[in-house]
Amino acid sequence: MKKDELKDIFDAAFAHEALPVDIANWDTLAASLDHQRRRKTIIYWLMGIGLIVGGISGMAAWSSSHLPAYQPDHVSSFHTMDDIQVSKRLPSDNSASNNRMTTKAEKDVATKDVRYAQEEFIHEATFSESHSQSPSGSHTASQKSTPSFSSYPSHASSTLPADSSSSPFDPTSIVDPPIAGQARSEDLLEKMPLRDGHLDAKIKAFSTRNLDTLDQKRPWELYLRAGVAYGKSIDPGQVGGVGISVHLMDNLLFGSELLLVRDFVNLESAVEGRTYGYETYRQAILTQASEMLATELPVFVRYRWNRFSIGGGVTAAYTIGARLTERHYLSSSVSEQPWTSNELTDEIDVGYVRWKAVKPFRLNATTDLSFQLTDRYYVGSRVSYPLQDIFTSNAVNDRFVRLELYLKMSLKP
Amino acid sequence: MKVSAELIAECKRNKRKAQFELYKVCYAFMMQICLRYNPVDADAHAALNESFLKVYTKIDQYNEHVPFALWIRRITINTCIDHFRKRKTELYASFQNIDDGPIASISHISNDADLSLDAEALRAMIRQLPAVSQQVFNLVILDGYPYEEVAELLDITVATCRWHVHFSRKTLQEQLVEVSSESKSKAV
Repeated sequence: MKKDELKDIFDAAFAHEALPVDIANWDTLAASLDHQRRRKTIIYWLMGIGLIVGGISGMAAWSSSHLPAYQPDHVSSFHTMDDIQVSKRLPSDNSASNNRMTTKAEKDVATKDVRYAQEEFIHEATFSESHSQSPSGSHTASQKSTPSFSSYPSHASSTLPADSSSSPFDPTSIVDPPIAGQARSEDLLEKMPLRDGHLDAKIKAFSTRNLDTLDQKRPWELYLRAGVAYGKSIDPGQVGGVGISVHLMDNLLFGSELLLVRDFVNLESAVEGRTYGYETYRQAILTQASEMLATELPVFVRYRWNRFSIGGGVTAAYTIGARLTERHYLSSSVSEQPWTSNELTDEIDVGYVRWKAVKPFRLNATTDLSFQLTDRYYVGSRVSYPLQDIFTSNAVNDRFVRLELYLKMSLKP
Repeated sequence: MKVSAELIAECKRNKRKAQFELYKVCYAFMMQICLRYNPVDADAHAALNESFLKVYTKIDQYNEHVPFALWIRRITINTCIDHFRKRKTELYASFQNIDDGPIASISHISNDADLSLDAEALRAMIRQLPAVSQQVFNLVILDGYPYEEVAELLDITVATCRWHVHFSRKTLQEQLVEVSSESKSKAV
């Protein structure tokens, strides 16, 4: 008997064998499949949660180690500027506001300017005092008893609204510092186009698909999301990140996202200042944030109706850093002096820092409306309202509503 | 066994109904392999379920240019070999006890058509072989694997593999001769 003959005997026998299908075994197999699917889902969830926790922890660690903590310093503008690595600009010179002095040469030039301006300012102040109606003795005493005042900022004379040495002081030119938390562009937000028109557009790609059954095929889906955000500034911020939505039941979905948000804002915090020279001079520091970088973790439940879905939930946010500008205002009880009320004396570009005045962790209430364009792409809008004040110690209502318009792309077609 | 492209496509979408259809279509084919490679029916069932799980979870990776039967056969055999590896120590122990005596000549068998045995009886013959010989015989003789690949799969040398083939062939031929002579005597 040859090798092939032996194989033929076996093949012939097995070819004619009819094994009945064990239906009972299918139940075991189906249960195993369900178990495997559940286990896979749990693993994905654990990976997602780990990623989110790791990401937020990493960002928190990075921001605390790389970004310096910011606290306004009253004395800084009253000292010589030798050690202050910041730039100053005239209020009208917008282009120069973000320039930093980085080289020693620049610092030296600035220092010379400072000293020159200090001399000029002292001369000017003395001249003003000598012509004031207040008792000259007390003012002289106040000047002399304010050692820090001798280093008044360099551009003191240049920040005056007009040539104060030659023209009389105009009280109408006084501008009060903005109130903390006030939006620069609230009125403009209402004019924001919501672009409802395209939501009704007929999408050709959909004509042959049955969307009602689409979701049943997807117990969960990962997606990328990117959009623009309008908050306390007319400049649109940027939002981007990843998200997951899980089918809970029927038309109900649970979702969560990890987002990186860059908001262009106009958040201002005023610190009422100290008095100098026996309460003759009062300094106020106004800190303004123009950008804020944050990570957000929205968790929400969505109701799906055809191509529309509406949802609501809570968003946990962690502020990584903020780009700050510090403005120093000086006022005086001596009304005759040219810089009497809220005169801008100094403006400092602080850069990206951890702003201690802002709560790092915040909670927002979030509502979301999205529309499915194709089986992969969605457009939507989201509105977030803070459940807490943004500033740590400020009685002013500083909560601002943020509107986002976004495009979402599913990663699981 | 015929599996339609539509059924495969539905299985790729994780449709439970389609998975059940595939189970019904492929059950006999896969079970036969599992029964050949596993000495006990319970082990065969376990290997079958594991093979089906692999088929369902990896069906996304199935290349349509390859016959489906070939693909699932490969998965089933690999699963059975994995099961075999898990109990290898036990199997080698049993292999040491076999009687390695001379195998009778079967050259007098002239008409192979006489050997019309049913699958159950032939499977019983294979199961009487030592465990490693069973695997080698199944892989080399019945499933056509090359010696080198079998040696690698079972972690043995090619020479050992050849010996197992020789041994199992001789043993099975001997048994077939016995069965044949018994059936002839009954017929007379």
